[in-house]
Parts: sequence; structure tokens; C-alpha cells
Amino acid sequence: MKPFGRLAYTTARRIGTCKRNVTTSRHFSVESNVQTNIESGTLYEMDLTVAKQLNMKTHLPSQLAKQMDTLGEIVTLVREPTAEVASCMRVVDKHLPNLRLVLWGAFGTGKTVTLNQAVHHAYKNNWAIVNLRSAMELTRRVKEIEMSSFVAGRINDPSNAVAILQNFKQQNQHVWKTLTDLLTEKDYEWSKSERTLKEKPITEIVEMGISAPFLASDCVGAIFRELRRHAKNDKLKVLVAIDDANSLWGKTLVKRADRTYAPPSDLTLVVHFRRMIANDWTNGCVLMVADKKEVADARDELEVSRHTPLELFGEEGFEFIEPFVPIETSNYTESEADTIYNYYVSKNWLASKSGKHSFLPQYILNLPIFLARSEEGRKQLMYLSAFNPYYYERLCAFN
Amino acid sequence: MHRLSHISTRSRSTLADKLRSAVGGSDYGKSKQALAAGSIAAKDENGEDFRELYVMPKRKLRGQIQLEQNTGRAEIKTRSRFDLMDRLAERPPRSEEMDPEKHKWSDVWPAARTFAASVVPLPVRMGSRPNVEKRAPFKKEGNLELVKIPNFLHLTPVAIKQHCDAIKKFCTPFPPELIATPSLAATCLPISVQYSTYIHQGTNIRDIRSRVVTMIVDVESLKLTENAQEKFIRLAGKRYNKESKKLTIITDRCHTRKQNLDYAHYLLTVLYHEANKVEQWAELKERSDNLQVEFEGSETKTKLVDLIEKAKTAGLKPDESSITEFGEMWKSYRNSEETVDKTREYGRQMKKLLGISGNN
Amino acid sequence: MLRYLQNVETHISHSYRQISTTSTLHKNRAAKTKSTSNRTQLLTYEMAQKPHHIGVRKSWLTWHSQNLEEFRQTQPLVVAQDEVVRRFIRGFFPQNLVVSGNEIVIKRRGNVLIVAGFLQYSRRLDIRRIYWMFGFAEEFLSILLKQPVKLELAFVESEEEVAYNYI
Repeated sequence: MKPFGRLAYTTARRIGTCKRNVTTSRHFSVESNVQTNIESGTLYEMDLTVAKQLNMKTHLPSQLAKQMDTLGEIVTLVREPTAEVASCMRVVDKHLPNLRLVLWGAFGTGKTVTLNQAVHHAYKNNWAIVNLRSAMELTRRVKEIEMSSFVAGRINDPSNAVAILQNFKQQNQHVWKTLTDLLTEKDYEWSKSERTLKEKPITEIVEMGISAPFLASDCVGAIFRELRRHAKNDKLKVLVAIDDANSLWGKTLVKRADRTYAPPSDLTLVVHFRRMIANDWTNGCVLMVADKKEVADARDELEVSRHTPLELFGEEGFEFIEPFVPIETSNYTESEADTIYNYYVSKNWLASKSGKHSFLPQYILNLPIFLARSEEGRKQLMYLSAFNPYYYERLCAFN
Repeated sequence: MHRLSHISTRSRSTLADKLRSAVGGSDYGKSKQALAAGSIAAKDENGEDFRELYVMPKRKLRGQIQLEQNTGRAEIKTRSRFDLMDRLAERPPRSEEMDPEKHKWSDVWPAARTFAASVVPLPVRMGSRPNVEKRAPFKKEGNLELVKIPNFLHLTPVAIKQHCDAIKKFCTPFPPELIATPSLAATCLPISVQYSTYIHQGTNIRDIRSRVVTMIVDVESLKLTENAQEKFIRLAGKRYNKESKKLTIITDRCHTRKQNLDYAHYLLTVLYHEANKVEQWAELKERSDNLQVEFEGSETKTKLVDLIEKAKTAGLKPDESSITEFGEMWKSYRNSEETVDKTREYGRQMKKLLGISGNN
Repeated sequence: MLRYLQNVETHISHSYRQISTTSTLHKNRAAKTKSTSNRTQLLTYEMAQKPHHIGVRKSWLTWHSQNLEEFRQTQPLVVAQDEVVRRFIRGFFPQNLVVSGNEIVIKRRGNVLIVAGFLQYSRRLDIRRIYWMFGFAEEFLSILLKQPVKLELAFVESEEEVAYNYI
């Protein structure tokens, strides 16, 4: 459940204006240096146009995307993990090998939201963004495959590669000019006829990939290589944000010719992303989310998987991403839950306790659906959801 | 017809004969006449019996009796007790005649016995009533519930003390050193053998479960070298417990307990000697063969050291001294069960190592 | 002729016995004594409790471990032994029984079988006869069951001693 709120709301609260005025005033943070702005416990709005550019609708969890449409704005709560990520992003330097962060936590505690907040943060600081909605798409939702002509035995995935390139293009519009200034290092021969020459802007590789699906996987690899090279040369900073990153070492549903499942290291896109995570380049930050989706099996009644990084990445993956900084996401504290509650109340999202229902008996009137706006309703919501952000949002949606 | 033959077979049964002879001797049932007639049963031509000549009385003569008495071969007729009729007369229950000064309870009730209401002097009642206030539970005379339950009247503290005093002279005291320092048991007595014996109610004394033998060995006391210990642990497999450092061998593959015990000892001997042998191919061991993941030679360490070096040039303030602490934490993280707390500890130490603080 | 035969048949069909299987008549009447109008029916404690009170208000009359899961080597033998013992006692002490021999408890201690309970003496007690009968019974049962049998029966003056209640 993604708490939505407004920065202006909090500033208004600090000044002491009453709640009614909040709906009219709308600000979003104009300061471009984010150093002083990330305070945990505050509400944080993202502009809708920016959100569209960053493709938030697909990257955010589905409930929040729907809420975005309903309420007309994206407002999230800045919590501890975001503050930690922001402080880690601040130390990124051209001499420092890329800093790897792993977001882990129980179900519904805000891993994906924190990731997207970090993406927005990078946007505001004019970083290049490489954002992958879910690594599980690369391994499990592969519609058609092609054997790679570049390296024998590798499997290309044209549709996913094209989607990645399109996403990349859309998300990096704010630095597109900078990217066009960066030049390729060598000739890229895609096939007999297609080639990209040396000293051409790297955006051409992106265009090439989008127009020719069967080259797209190799283009992805090329663009990543160029990004790494330029980051090392301190031309730009790169944020690599991968949701469900532990799937890069999980199981695939891609069948090879002899009807066995291919390991993830046989897929080109997985290999390219793993190279982005490797810490041989500098001036960047890699943000990964360790999600239980990869390992948990709904049909297995006996076992419950853990949500800790070693368990989810596996030994091989763990040794690859080490050394990393694990950042935990957790349930709401009471003050955080209060902030969200007040936001919903101010947006009239929570149903009101009004006089027209007074003919109903008391035990019905005491249900949250009728009490939501009162003090008791606030407490009931907190305890019914057990402070879990996802369930809190779901409860608020129905009450 | 059928019925008559049925009776005649029964009268010829051996059990009846046995009973008869048990009760009255061999002469029971024969008529007195036949007894008196002796062995000659024929009658003369007039129908008269044989008149026996009187030689001497048919009894033991005085001299004979005296001889028998002097030599100790006399048959002594037991006389019934002089107070027999008193004892057989109807008397009050024994519990009223007992005197605590003169009689000891352990003499009255020396062994396990079903409840005898006349002997036990306690006013006991047992049984449920619909309304206890109106009518008290059933009295002890004639109470079958008291008879059904096992009682421990033969195990009063005084009786137990008596038993113990009687046995004490056959016992030696428990070594006080073992009581004082419990850890001494582990060093002095490193092997413990456990087996069970099963008792059945009935004529059977066999139970197949009594052949199972469990042997628990303290591996520290074997004093193996480090390589030998690792080999020992690998050979033992699941039988070795890491936390308590004990080897447990459970055998039941032989028929008798003694054989199983010998087999357990044999296994221990073989394990020990095999662990001490060094094979040529043991030199081929690599880092990935280790039983535990070590921090020292791992890639993580090299990468971490590298990162710290670069962090210094980048302007961070990494804390190099805590790398050993990190190494230990990492080893326990990788080699034991992963929990949420351990992961948090990992994160905290990593941040401390790299010099990144949580917030601004 | 045929009609006459048919009449005869219908006449006969009313006279055969029928078994009713309805639930109202199909009651369980075991161990439940019926009360009399002038309260003459004597009830021992055993008889007074309904059968579902076994284990709750009244204990068992035979005790053995062959019903336990790991010990079931001679379970049917023990049941047969119990039956033999009870029938023997009932038959051997005909005048001395209390309530048709129901007040007998059989316990087992290792290999030994212990028969305990109550017998009554109606008018006079010839103790020598009783001692002999006890000895005989013990010997007989020991040889029969191949286990040492001990009799620990107690004597009660009359059935009124064991009366718990009169229904």
C-alpha cells in the first residue's frame, strides 16, 4: 500500500493552517538539490507529467497505479529506507565502484515504492536511469525466443529487449541531450548490413534497437556498455534500479531445443543486467529489490520461504552481488500510519460517518466502514491491518 | 443310551482320580470291607470269609515307636493350635486391635496388597454421590472402588527408610567429585551407552526393542588433530552433532544387545583409525570443499578490501579496523541459519565498515 | 378352491412373528437397572453408575497393559484368561457370591494375577473350608493359566454391606 500525501500538506500543517485548505493548495518540491529534502515521515508528491515520463503507471504496484487515477496525483510517504537510499546515492563518486543496495523486507512493506521514489530522486538530480520493472519478466514471461548470433548458446528475447529500450528512452528524456552528446567507442556490427559507426551518439543504438527487434538484445548490451564507460569517465551518473532482482539467479521458464529449462545465464538480457550489477564500473548506484515472488510457491503448503537476501539470491547470486548494503523495509510506525490516515481523510477517500446512517443499530455503526473518519476508526484501521502498509491501503480503499 | 455313556466317561476321568487321591490318599473311595479284607478276597465253599489268624496287633509296637523316635524317623502328628477356636471365632477388625506402640505398620503391610478394609485403620471414603452434602461417599467396608485402585500403603517413608538401611551395606557412595563438578563427567566418562529393558504383564519376557543400543561419545576426548577431526566429521555424517560435539551411534542391526554393543564399539574404533589416516588424494582439496564458508580466502574479502581502498580516495571514511569483526559476522551469517536479525546485523556492520551513515 | 386357498393364506400371514427395527424400541439397555416401585432393588456402586461413567466415576474391573500400543503381544490371551477366572470364581463359590459375581477385580503385577473382590457369607463362616477352597482355587488357576494366581478376596457379611443405593 503506497501512502500518498502531499509535501504541501505537511508544510501547511507545520504552519498551522487547518485541514480544509490543504485540498486547494498544491505544491511540489521545486528544489533540485535533494540534500535537505528527504526527511523520513514526510509526504512526497511526484508530478503527474514526470510520473508519466518515468512510466510510473507500470512500475508502481497495481493498487497504487489505480489510486493514481482515482485521486489524480501520486503522493507517497518518505520513510527510513528512502532516506537511506538517498544518503547512499549522495556518496556516489567517480572513484568509488558502484554502490550496490538491496532492499529487502516482508510482503507489502514498501520495497517497490522505495525503488520508485529513488528513481524519481535520480530524475530530479539528472542521473541516467536504467529501470527494469521486474527481472521475472526476463526469465519467466518470455514469449518468443531467438538463438543469439553474437554468442553461441545464448538465447535472445526480442520483445522484452524492445520493451527495455523503449522504457529506457522514455525514462531518460530529461538527460537525452546529454546522452546524445556521448559518443560510441567503437564500431558495432549488428548484422551483415546494419552497423553503427564509431563516434556516433549512443542514442542511435537505442533507436536501432527499437526499430529492429531481432537486434534489440544486442543493442541492450551495447547501450549498457557505453553507459558504464561514460560513467567511469565521469560524464554522467547512473542509477540502475531492478525490481525482483533475485530472479536473475532464479529459475526460468525458457525451454531450450532439447526441452530442458535454460539456466538464467543462458539468456542475453540476464547476462547484460548482471554485468550492470557487477562492480567493475564507477560513478553509479545499483538498487535491487529482493522479492519473495521468485522463491515462494503458493501450492506448497508446508514450506514458507524467508525474505532475507541470502535465501532469495541463492549462494551464487549472493556472492556475485557482494559487497552490498542491505536496507530493510518494515511496517508502519504509529506516526506514519497517522500521516497516511490524515491524508486519506483530507482527500475524502475514507467514507464518512454521517447522520444518514443513524437508523442502523450500534453494532453495525461500530464497524470501520461507518467509523472510518473517527478516532476509533483510525485505531481500528491501524490494528486491523497490523501496521502493514499494503493491507492498510486495502482497508482504506474499502472503508 | 447316550447319556449313560456320558456319565461313565466322566467317572473314569483322570482329573477326578487326581482330585480323589489328592484329598484322601489312595484308599479313598474303596469300601471299608475291602480294606479290612486285605489282599485275599476269595470266599470258601460255605460263603464265609477267610478268618485271619491273630499274630500281632495291626499297629506299631511301643518298641518300634521308640526306635523311630530315637532315630528321628517318627511321623509326628501335627496338632492343631491351642488357640485355634479363639482365632476362628468372629473377631473385631484387625485395625482396632493394632497398637502403634507395639506394632509397626511395615510389619502389618509389608508388601503390595489390595486394600483390606479391616486392616487399614484410616476412615477412608470413596465414590461419587449426586449430592455430597446430603449423603457422604461410600464407606470403606465393601467399597470395590478402593479395591480397584493400586495403593501404596507398603511404601510409607518409614518402610522405605527401612529398605534403604537394609540395602545400604551393599552400596558404595556416588563419587562426590562428579557431583561437585558436572563437567568432570564429560572428561572422565566420555562414552555413555543407553539401552532399555521391557517388562510385560504376562508370561512373556522377550521384547524385540531391548536389543537397541545407543552410544554417545564425546569427540573432544578423542584428541584428534584438526584434519583428522574434519575427516571424522565427514565420515560420521548425520551422527555428529555440531552444537554438543557428540557422536551418537544407534545400532539395532544384530539380534542381541551384546552383539549390538560390540558393533557400536567396533564402529567407533574404525572411525577413529580412519580419521587418523591421511590419503594422497586429500591434497586435492579446494576452497569449495570446505565444510564451512570461510571469510579469509573468499572473493568477498578481496572485493571488500578493494572497495574500502577506493572509498578512501572517494572521500568516504571507511572503518578498516572493523573488518575482522565483519569477517566473523559474515562467517556466522553464511554458515548458520539466516534470520531477519542476522541480516539487520549484516547491514549495520556493512554501513559501519564503509562509513555510510543512515541519514544526512 | 383357489379363493379358499387365498383366504387361508391371508389368515396365515397375520400369525407369523415380526421383528421390529424402529429406533424407539431399539434402545440400549445394558448396565441400566430399572427402578422398582417399593425401592427393593439393591444397587452396588458399580451398578449405580451408568456405563458411560467408566473411567470417569468408576474404574475398570480388570487391569492389564496389553491394550497399550507397544505391548500388545498377548491381548486376546489376557481377555480369555479374565473370562476363565471370572467363570471359575462364579462356579466355585456358589453360595458366596455377591451380586452374581460382579464384584471381582482382576489385577496383574508382572507375571502374577491377583483376584480381589468381595464374597459374602450368608449364615456361618467355616473358615477352614474357605481356606481350603482358596488354596484349591489358587492352585487350580495357577496350573490352568500357567501364571501364579493369588486370591485376595474379602468377606462381607451380606449383600447389604455393598449396597450403595436402593432403587
